[in-house]
Amino acid sequence: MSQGSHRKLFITCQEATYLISKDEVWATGLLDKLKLAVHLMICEFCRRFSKQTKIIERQARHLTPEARLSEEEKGLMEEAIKTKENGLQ
Amino acid sequence: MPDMLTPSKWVQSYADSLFGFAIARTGDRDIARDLVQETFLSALENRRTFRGESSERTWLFSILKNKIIDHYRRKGSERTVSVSGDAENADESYFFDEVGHWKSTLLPTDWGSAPEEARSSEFLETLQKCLSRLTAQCRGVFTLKYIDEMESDEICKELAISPSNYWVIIHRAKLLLRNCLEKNWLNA
Ligand SMILES: [Zn+2]
Repeated sequence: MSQGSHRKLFITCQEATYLISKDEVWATGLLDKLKLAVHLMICEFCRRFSKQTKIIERQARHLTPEARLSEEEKGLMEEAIKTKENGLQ
Repeated sequence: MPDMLTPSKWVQSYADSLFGFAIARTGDRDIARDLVQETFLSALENRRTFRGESSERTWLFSILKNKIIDHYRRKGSERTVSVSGDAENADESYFFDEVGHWKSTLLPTDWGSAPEEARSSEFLETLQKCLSRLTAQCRGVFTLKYIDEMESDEICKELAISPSNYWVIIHRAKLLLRNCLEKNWLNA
């Protein structure tokens, strides 16, 4: 085994976080999974990244902003709809 | 064919929920409002295509979804202007040094018992703010994937981006969101 290919088993944090982000069964090959597993054994920062981005993914589903349109904005929209409706008739 | 649509009641009945949906996906109040307005107007133009197979509400939402996808596509990789000029506009290399290790100033810290608290409204509020600071394309991809739970290959098709580009964007979005939450929620 050449030194080059040996070294390739050890990936950087940048590569590891990419593979963590690409966490879909079909998207990552077996070799990449192995490299990532090796990296995660030795790197607590990427372990944190993995854990925390999973929290973010799960929580994203609950995003429901309480944003509301003002009465003025609604009034303008109603006007625009009326104008358009008359234009189409 | 009897017309089952009631445009005169659209604003009153649906404007707020359409607006909430749009703002969660664009992070920009003005853009969200314009998209809702455009939705109503193109719904009127296309009212003959409404077959009554879905509800009026579902139909309006499907028009809005298309408007939002058009918006992301138009914006492409255009970057939002950041006042603070830091991580929000960064790409993935911002977080790592020349040899690909985490920069010492940006190391992920331990969130402790955060998983249990994550559902808190402060967490979600901060996540919303962090999301709005991403570039339009980054925000679009992340939103379609994790809020709308659309399939990855479908997102690539809709936004006309390659799979490898797609994963780079997802990577970037997660680095930026995680860092933004750590700064603004954990250490708030
Ligand atoms: Zn690492």
